[in-house]
Amino acid sequence: MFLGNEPNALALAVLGAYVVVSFGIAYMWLRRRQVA
Amino acid sequence: MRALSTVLAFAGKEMRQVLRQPKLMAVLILGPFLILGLFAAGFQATPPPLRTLVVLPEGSELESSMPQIAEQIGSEIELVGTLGDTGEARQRLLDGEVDLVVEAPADAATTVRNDEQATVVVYHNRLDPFDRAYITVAAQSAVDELNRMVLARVAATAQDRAGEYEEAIPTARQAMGTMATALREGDEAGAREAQSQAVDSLTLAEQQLGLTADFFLGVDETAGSSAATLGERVGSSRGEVESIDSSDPAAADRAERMEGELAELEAAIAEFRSVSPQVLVQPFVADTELASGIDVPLTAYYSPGVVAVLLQHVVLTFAALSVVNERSTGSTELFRVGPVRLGEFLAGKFLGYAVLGSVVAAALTAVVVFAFGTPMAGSWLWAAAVLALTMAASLGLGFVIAAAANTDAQAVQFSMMALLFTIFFSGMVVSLSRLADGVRQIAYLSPATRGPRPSRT
Repeated sequence: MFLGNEPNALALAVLGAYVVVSFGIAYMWLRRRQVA
Repeated sequence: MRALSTVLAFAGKEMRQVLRQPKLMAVLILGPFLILGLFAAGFQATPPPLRTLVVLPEGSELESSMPQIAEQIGSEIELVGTLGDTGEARQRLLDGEVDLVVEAPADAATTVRNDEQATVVVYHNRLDPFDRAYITVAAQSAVDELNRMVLARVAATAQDRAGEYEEAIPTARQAMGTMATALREGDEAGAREAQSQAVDSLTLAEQQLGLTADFFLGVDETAGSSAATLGERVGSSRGEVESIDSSDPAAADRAERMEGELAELEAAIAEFRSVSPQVLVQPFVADTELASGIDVPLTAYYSPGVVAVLLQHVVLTFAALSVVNERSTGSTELFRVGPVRLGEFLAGKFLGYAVLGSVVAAALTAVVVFAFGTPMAGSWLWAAAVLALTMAASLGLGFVIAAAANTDAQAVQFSMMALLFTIFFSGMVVSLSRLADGVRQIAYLSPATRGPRPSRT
């Protein structure tokens, strides 16, 4: 981004999947610990 | 509607909690830059020259050529002196007075004559693997330079010898001219005399060629030229001159043509002699350039990675700590009675930290681009997208840490572990391509790993 070529779509898609999965895990785990 | 106001309430609460601590904000934004700036100012991309002591055996012929070697050897190595005793030199190395001790081979000439390579031993005192690699490269390049100096001497000798027969070729050329004139005037005896004179001169030149011709052949072939070598040309010219039959009516024309060919040969030898020995022994040099044509200084290379790693660490720590805090202060009990749903709770916190994180990311990027001068060759939109996703993923990981941690201390420790992992494996310091297959995939567990990669590639 700073230095040249545009990022590839795959990298962005994987990063997006990371967001969904991590929030999914956090949600289920926090619910089991009865945070809210 | 109620859900939205709950989400916004959480977002506002998180932002106020951070903004109420101006010192925290200052440390978050200024701290990294003070560190990065200090590093940029203090880091030397080219290490200082290695102070080198040379151990020469008694009466070595190298002693006299040391000043010349020192001049040629390049900026990586600084010759500080010569000694006759290895023990003393190594002691000075251990005392830290010099960086390298170079032990010249005792009798290099004899070793080489016995068909063996003479070894130059280099002692150093470094444990840092990068330093060691650097010393190995510097030593090899210095020895290469030494080898080239020897070759340059050989080349100079070859050129001198080319001068010896330089006389012979013009003599042969003139003789061919005389022969052509004599033939046209019908003076067959004069023509034969001129012909034998030309053959004699060319034979002399051919005998003297030896080393020079081979040397020239090597240079030509390596440089991709397929032109006939000097030796072959002199030889074939002699053959042709010899084969001219003076009673043949076309003999005058052939003699004239040979005169022309010998003139060309003369020019080729003059050309060979005009090239300096340094160019002859080192016809190629490397010049590397970036395909994009943009020069990337050291700070510019590291700063996008630093932005991603800092952003990850800041929002991850915030997210992890805030959830654990709510639990330890008992606020979660209130939320449950509220009732606040977990989705609203997480969305609110996400929104609050996303806004704060965006401010931090924007500030970091602005300083990196405008203050440190990192070239922004890509589009701002993609940069923002990559940073936003890195931030969202870091918040997600922060919430997972929050779920795993029971206390503040645990959350802080887990966050530090995540930071440590990221510094080693995000590709910020060590390029991902240097990691083995299997470990490289694990490296992608850190959100910032993807951040700086699209940033840099």
